[in-house]
Amino acid sequence: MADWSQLPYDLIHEVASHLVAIEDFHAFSAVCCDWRSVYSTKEWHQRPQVPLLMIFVPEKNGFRNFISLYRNKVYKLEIPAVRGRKTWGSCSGWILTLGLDLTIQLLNPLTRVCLSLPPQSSLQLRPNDARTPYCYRVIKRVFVFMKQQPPPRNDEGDSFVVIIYGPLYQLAVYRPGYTSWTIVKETATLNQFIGVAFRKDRIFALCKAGSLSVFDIDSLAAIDFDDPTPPENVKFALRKGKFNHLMLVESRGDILIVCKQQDSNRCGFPVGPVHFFVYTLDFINKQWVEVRDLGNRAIFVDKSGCVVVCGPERFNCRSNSVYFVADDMKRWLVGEVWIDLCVYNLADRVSEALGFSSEIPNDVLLPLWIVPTLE
Amino acid sequence: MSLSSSTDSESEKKTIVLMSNDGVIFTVEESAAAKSQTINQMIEDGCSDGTIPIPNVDSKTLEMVIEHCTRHAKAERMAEAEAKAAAEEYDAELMKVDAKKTLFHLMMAANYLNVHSLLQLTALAAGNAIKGKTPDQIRDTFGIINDLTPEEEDQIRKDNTWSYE
Repeated sequence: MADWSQLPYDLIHEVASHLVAIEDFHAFSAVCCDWRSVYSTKEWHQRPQVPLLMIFVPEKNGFRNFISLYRNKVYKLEIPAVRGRKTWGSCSGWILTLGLDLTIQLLNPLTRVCLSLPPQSSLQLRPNDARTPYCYRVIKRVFVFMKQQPPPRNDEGDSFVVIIYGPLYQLAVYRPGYTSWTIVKETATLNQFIGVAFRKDRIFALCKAGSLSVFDIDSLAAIDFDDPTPPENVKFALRKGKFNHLMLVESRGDILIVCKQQDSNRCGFPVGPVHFFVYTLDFINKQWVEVRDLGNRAIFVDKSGCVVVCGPERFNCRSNSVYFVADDMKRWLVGEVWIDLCVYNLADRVSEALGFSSEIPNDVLLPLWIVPTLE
Repeated sequence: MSLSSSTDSESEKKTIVLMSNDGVIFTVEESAAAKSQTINQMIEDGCSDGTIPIPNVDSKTLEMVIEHCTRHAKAERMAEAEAKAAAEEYDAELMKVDAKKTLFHLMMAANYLNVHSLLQLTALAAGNAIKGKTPDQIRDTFGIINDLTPEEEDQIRKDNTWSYE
């Protein structure tokens, strides 16, 4: 008599250990009592996930839509913790929120876990910067990293937050247990940072001049680093001040720069096709080398940076591709921003719209990639 | 799916006799039977003479288990690409069996007889049958009855299972 719900617990666990996407784990956990029991009591090895795209829902305050590329569907979730708060993506499972009272929280919008971080006042700002309305523009970019990969389950324990903040675009770090933000004191020149990555206990930071600074995560001391010359496309973007077209990211031990390229018209609106260029840092020869083929990886880009995922086909996503949000600039003038989720193929350098278009009220609430976690 | 015939010429190979729970006799090469850790233990303990009854497994399932073991034992022994391909080809066939009954019996047999490679294979096939499905669809595929109470289902929704509808 075949009865899958009566399968021995070890076998149920064995079966579920082949699941990869978190949505599949959720479905597995809701099948029957025994399977749910196994889900709750066993340890799971979580593999890196393809992120979901979080989009503002205009007609419903406090709600967000999440586009799942894996299941090709949209989830509408209520997230009270974002109401009335400014948000920043961090290309991880977390978003940073800032309240009117200048308290800072780290929120996982999918699981609703909310952590309090030190308030903005601990950033030692100059009086001018601490005044309204400048105080709401202090934080520029947010990055959340795990010290260990893969992260141990149930652990916010070894993740840490790096922010780019202030008119000088400095770096500050938060680690669990800190009561205030720790400012990273730069050496030599006054670097204004635009992107941060983490690799082997070191923070890599790209600055507006195109140079890379490296800091040790524990001491936050600057490490001597022979700086490679930035590639032409990167230099061009820096000269034009298109800092949000450049993303520094770590993937499988590589440090990459992802460079978005799109022309602008005289009014500064982006026009024409979007292109992406990826460069990897050759640590031995101290130079950036263009990556023509990402191999078995896909990159997911939003305004806060990017996420690199290995083995994207397991999630019905394409390899050697960049997923990004294109805005329909024709509509800007009429006060709407229409966005389209698109995928760019690095091999043939062509973009394709994926059929998830959406209207958002303004360009402040642009979509963010959220990486799901098991809890 | 037919039983493969042994074409390699080795001097007198030992065979093991197995009997399924519906009385069908199977004669298996020792190396193939040894892929079952359960039977291997008996071989090592010297109690593998005579007919070994397999009470938990019917003939249809046992035939598939034996075929899997025979092909894999051959692939290991001969280290030939052809033998390896034959084993993989059969495994691919096994991955396609119906989830509701055949796969279940195959997995239970692999577990009882402790055939590691077959257990991995059936677990993978079952895992694949779960991927991309809603809980309802999964229950349909495997023939499972929903025994979760409405309270438990409510709890699942509350428990931050954001993809659950």
